[in-house]
Amino acid sequence: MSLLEATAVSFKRQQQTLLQAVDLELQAGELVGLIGPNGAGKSTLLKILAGLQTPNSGSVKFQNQALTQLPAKIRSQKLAWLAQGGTIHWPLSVERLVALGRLPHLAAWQSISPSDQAAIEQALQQTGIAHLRTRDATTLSGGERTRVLLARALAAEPIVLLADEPIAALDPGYQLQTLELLRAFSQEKRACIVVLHELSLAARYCDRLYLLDKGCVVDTGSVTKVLSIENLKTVYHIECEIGCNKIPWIIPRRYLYN
Amino acid sequence: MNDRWLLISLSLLVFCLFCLSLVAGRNPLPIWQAANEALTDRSSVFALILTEIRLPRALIALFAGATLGLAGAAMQGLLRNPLASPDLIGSSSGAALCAVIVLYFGWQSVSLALLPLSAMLGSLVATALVFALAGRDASITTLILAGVAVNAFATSAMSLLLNLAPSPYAMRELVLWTMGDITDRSMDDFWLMLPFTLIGWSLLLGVGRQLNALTLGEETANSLGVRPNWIRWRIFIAIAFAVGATVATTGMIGFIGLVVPHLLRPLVHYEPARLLPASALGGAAMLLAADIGVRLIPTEAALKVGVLTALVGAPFFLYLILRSRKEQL
Repeated sequence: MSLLEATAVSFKRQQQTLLQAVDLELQAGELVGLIGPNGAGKSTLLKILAGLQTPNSGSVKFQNQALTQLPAKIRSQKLAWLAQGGTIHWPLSVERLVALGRLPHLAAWQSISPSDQAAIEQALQQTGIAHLRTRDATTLSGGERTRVLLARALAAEPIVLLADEPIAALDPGYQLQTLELLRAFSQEKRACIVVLHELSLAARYCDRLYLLDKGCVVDTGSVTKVLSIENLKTVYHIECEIGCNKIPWIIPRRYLYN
Repeated sequence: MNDRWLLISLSLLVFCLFCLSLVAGRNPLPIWQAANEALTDRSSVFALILTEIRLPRALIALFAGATLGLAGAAMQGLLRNPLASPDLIGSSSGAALCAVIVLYFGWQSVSLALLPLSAMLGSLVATALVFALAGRDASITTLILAGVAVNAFATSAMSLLLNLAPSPYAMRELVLWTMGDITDRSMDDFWLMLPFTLIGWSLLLGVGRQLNALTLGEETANSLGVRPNWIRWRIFIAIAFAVGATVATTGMIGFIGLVVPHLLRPLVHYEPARLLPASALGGAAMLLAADIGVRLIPTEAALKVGVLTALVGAPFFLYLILRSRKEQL
C-alpha cells in the first residue's frame, strides 16, 4: 500500500530552484533512504513530504489524499518530522520534552492519559534515554539530544516518520542502534524516510534509496542499483570502492577535483 | 513545589496584598468600619475612601499587574526569548504614544473608549513592527535592538508632544501619565479597562500547549499541528487588547512583564504553558506590592508606581544581560 506519494514536485525559493519535478513513493513497511550531497534538496523534500512547505507545482498524497487537504491535526498525528540538528529553546526535562510528541493526540483541554503516558514511556525505552528523564534537555550531549528528539517523534506514534539526518551527531554504536530502531519502526502499516550521509549504513538498512543532486532525483531503486561507482562519481565527485560481504560497504578513496 | 501549590500560594499572596492595598496608606483605613459603613451609609468618609479611592486602585493594580505578568510570559514563550516583555519590545510604548496623542488633542472628550482603543492600536502596531524588524527566530540582540528602535521612536514622538504641550499644566499631566501611576483612578476607569482586559486574557486561553511546542522551534511546532502564524497574531492581538487597556488606564509601568516570568520560570520547570497563570498571579502580586510600597515610602511628593518598578526592574534587566553574556562565553 502506498502511504506517501509525491508527483512532479518542484519548489523554488527566491528565483532559485531547489527541487525539480521530483517523484517519490513510500510503501508501507519500507525504510527509504534519501541520499545526495549537501544542498541537493533532501531537507526541502522532506519538509514538503511532511506538509511543512507547499510545493510550487506537483502534489503530495498521504494514503491517496492530498496532503494540503488534510487538517493540520490529522496530518500531525500521521506524519512525524524530525528536524536536522533540532533546537530546544527552554531547559525542559527530557520527559516533558518527549511528552510534546503527544500534542497532536490531545484535545484542547485534555490532559495526558494513561495511553499517552504509555506511548511516552515506550519511546523513552526504545531510544534508551529512560535514565535521562529528569535531566534538563539543554544540557545533554549532542547524541543524547538527538535521541531525545527522536523519542519525541516516536511518542507521536505516527504512520510515517520523516527523519532528517538523525544519526549525524551519534557515535557508531548509537548510529546502529538508531537505524535498528527505524528499521523496527518501518514494519507492517508504518514506514520511514530517512536522510543519510553514511552510505554504508544506508546500504545496510534501507530497502530503497533515492539519490538526489541539484534538486533532481538522479537515480532510485534498490541499494545495489543506486550505490554504483558511476553514480557516486557523478554526484559526490568521489572515487570509491564498493564491496559486499553479506553486508554492503563503501569506502571513499579519493575526491575528484572537477 | 508542584504547580498546584505554587498557584495556591500565589493566589493567597495576591489576596493578602489586595486586602493590604485596601488598608495601607499614610493613614491606615479601619477596614471593617469602612466596609460596614460602605454597606449601610455610602456617604461616610471611610466608606467613600474605601469605595471611591482604595477599591478602584487595588482592582486596577490587580488587573494591570496580572496583564503585564501574563503578557510577559506569553511574549517570552512566543519569541522563545527570556528578554522579551511588553515594555522592552515596544507594546507598552506604542500604546503610550497613541494614548498621549489622544490626550494631547483632547479627543478623549469625544468618547471615553477612544483612549483604550487607540492604546490598543498603538500596542499592536508597535509589536508587529518590532517583530517585522527582528524577524522570526530573532536572536536576543536583534530583538532588543528592534525594541530599542521602536521604543526610541515612540519616546521621541511623546517628547515632541510634551514639548509642544499647550500649557505647563497639560505638560505635567502628560509627564505624570507616562511615568505609570494608579492614584486618583475611579471605578469608571476600572470598568472601562475591564472588558478589553478580559478579551485579551481570553484570547490567551489555550495557547499554552502551542507555546510548549514552540520550545522545539517553529517548524517542529508546525509538524505537531501548531500554526505559528496564527498563534503569533493571536498573542499579538491579545497583548494589544490587554496591555493597551492597561497602559491607557495606568500609563507605562515597566519591567513587571520581564521580571515576574523570569522569577517564576524555574518554579514551573521552564514550561511556557504553566508559566502563564503563575505569571498573571505573580504580576498582580508585584504591582499590588509596588503600589503599597509607594504609599508607605515617605517621600515629599508622592512616588509613582511606574518609577518604583523601573528602579527595581532596571538593575534586574542589567543582571539578565550580564548572565546571558556569561552563558554565551
